[in-house]
Amino acid sequence: MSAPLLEIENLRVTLTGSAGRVRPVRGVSLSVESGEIVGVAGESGSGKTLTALAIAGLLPRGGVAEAESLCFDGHDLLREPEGELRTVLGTGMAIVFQDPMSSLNPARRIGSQMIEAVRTHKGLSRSEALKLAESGLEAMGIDEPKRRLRQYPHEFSGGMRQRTMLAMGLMSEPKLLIADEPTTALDVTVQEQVIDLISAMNQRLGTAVILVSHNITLLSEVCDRVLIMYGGRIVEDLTVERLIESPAHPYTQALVNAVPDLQTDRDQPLSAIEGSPPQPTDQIEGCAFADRCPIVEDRCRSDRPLLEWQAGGQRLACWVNSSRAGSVS
Amino acid sequence: MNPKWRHFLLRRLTRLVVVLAGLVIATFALIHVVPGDPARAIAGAQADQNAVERAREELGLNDPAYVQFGDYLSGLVRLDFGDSFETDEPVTKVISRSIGPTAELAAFGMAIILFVGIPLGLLGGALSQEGNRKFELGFSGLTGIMAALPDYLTATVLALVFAVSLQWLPVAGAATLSAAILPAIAIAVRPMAMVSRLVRIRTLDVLEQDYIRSARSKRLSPRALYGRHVAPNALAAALSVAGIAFAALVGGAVIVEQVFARPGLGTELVQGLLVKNYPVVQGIILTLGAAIVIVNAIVDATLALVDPRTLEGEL
Amino acid sequence: MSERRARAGLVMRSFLHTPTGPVSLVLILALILLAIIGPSIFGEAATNVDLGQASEGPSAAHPLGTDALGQDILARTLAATRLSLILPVAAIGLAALAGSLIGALISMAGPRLRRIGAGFVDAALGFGGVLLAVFIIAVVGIGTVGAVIAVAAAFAPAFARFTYSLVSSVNSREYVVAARLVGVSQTGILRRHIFPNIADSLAIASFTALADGLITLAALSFLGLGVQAPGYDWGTMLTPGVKSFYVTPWAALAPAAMVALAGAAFALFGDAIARAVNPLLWVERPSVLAAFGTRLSSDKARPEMGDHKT
Repeated sequence: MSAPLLEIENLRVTLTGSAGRVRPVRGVSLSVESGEIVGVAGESGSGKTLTALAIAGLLPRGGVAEAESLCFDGHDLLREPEGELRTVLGTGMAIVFQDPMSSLNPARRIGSQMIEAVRTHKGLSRSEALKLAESGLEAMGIDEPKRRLRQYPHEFSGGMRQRTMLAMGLMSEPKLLIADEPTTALDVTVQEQVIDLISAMNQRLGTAVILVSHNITLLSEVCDRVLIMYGGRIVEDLTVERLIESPAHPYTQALVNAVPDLQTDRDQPLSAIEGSPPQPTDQIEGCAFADRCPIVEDRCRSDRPLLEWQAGGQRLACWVNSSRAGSVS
Repeated sequence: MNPKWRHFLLRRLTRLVVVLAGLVIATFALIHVVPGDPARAIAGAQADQNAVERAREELGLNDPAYVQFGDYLSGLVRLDFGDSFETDEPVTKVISRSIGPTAELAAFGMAIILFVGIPLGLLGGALSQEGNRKFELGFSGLTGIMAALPDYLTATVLALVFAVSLQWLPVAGAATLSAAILPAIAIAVRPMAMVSRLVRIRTLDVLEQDYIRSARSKRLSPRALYGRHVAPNALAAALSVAGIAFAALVGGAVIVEQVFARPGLGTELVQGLLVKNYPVVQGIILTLGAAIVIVNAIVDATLALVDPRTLEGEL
Repeated sequence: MSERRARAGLVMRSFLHTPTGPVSLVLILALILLAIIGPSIFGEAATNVDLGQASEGPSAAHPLGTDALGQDILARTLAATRLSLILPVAAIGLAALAGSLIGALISMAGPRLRRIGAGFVDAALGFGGVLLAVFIIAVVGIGTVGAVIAVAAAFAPAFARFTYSLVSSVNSREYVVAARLVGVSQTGILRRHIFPNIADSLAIASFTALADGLITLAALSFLGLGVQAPGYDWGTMLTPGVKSFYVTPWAALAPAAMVALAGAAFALFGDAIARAVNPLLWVERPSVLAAFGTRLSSDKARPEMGDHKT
């Protein structure tokens, strides 16, 4: 069994700002295999975006990531010197952010931005790189790619910019694509396009994907596996099949049930989860979901359930529904 | 040429022409808006009626307004600004011999602002990143003080220290190029401080932007990151004040030339004002004003070059 | 109304916490005191011509020495405070009044008038304070009155531009639009909605302008275009002072230092108040600086680079 592409143990992210210190990510352990598409789901405030940023090494000012181990493609991201990691990260990882309107430098042409990474790290000549960029844009369904390369970001629509970011990442043939809410700011039709492109990238190039989204339906369409985050931790780690059929954690169940589909009775109120998610500033004893949980027991409020492997191969952090299969993760 | 560029340039040019026209009209009106009788002012309080009449004839004040304006305009086109009341030499001659020292100052001053002020601001922004409060306060404080120093104070102190005490640089005149260094520093200190503050703020602003995060994700070298992504965006802020800085330089030159006894346009202007030598005053104000307006136009065009979004829908 | 008072209390407290606030306040009060009592206390010594003691260096009798006419430099500098402060205050007051009125009118005018007015203000702004002041002086004539009018005219465009942006931003706010829909007159809107909202920003900006105005007016006097003999302010003291500074440096340094000090005090005061009023909004000197930095007419057309944060 080959080593996973990405392996993280006990990742914590601390933010120090004007409001003091906050810990939005409180202990996340996960692994991603080559070619896997892993979704990260949760409401805002669950810490999913910061987890993704921490993996990418792009935390904002005042953010610090700590972990027992953070390994990507055999490299220890925490302990190896930055100089050596530069190429590994610059070409091995590609990132697509949430807001396409601001992710591209308004003062530079599209082409010149696209070829930067590949020229810096792979030493391609300018014309070679531009040709690569051109075919990248074409693969993303952007017409007249040659002309587009010479344009500026403000001449592109939101959907086009997002696809450009994807194409840009694709150029270095990354092993891992981290996409943080890549479709949230886009129209529904464009959302489909972008998700299809990510899926295609995965199939053709074997790129692993970490897809962060609050939209659990979207994740269930394209992912192999989904991590559910709540209160800065992972509460469930399960395959998509299991997610659709039999999620174990009450929060996951609630998330899945909250999505109306064509069969939903329109005369009944929408099923929503009562209460609101915890803030990163809250200190919580016991399970973070306890206050909103329909099957809460006394134990849940005093002891925090650990994320443990279950009989069916998934991980779960819940006292009540756990099959108690044992060892730690 | 890109049609948007053409449109922009056309509009900018029209604006330039309009402002220059306004300047011409304003300087023409100068003589005529002056309270009191300019002819008498020229001839002198003691002069008799004949002398005053002669002065009036010479000034052309007896002709109707539009004729005077016509004369003025045709004179301008021929680059004839009239003759100095004091020395009877053509104003153009006065200007051409004094413009050198002033232009030297303006050029040096601008160089200081651009090549010291802007990098200082960029550096300041880059260093302020880690929330280094002390550095921020220090930078703000230092540049704040620099921005408050009046030109003549800086000039005087500089002259005292470097010219008189240390004797490194000449103290007066415009004989050598080195004579321009101290006065140029004197007029550049304030605008430079303002520019570096602005650039620092913008740099910090830019560093927070999402596209910098995208650039960071490509793991570029710091030089590439700052040079290609941060600087161009922060520079636009500096450019937007470049025109103002130039105007401040010109104003400062007028003052500092007195301190350093530089025979430039400033000295001539002040002298002209003191003795009511209107043709000289008109001519110099027109020249300086035109220079400022043209520089502003160039700055605008450069700004459009750096930030292509300004080409979209200008007023 | 008590909310206003509570807010004022909060502002005052944060003001006292700023590093520069209390210091500049003390400086300004000291200057005002000097302006009031200066001439009476120091006036005599300042104008006591004593050619036998001319151009002496610092001594017990004359802490900063004497100038070319034997007058005590320290006394003269301190006595000059009154004129040196009153004139800029008058000039900037005028500039603020005229400028803000013009700015408000422009922003409330129809689109064509607005464009012309805005272009005019921009052109005036582009010239720079000193040159504009010199131009106005050429028209009005040299002297104290001329200098005050010149400085007022030189700074009015900045205030106009400042007010224009402020009023525009308030104008588009919902309650103003609502008021207009209901039929409140233009002057009513100006008085009730717009003015209260921009008054404090204007007041703050005035202090920064005051610092610059002080420097400009002293510059005019230095050039001989401002205060004329026998009156004297810091600027006029500089003229002979500069000529003789190899011999008696203090004759120039004293008034120049006072100008710098007073200017800095006003500027820092304005900064401190701005920061106290809204620490989030005002990071640097309030918009009079910005007024000199951007153009009215292309306000809408020039989105700031990278201002696309969600």
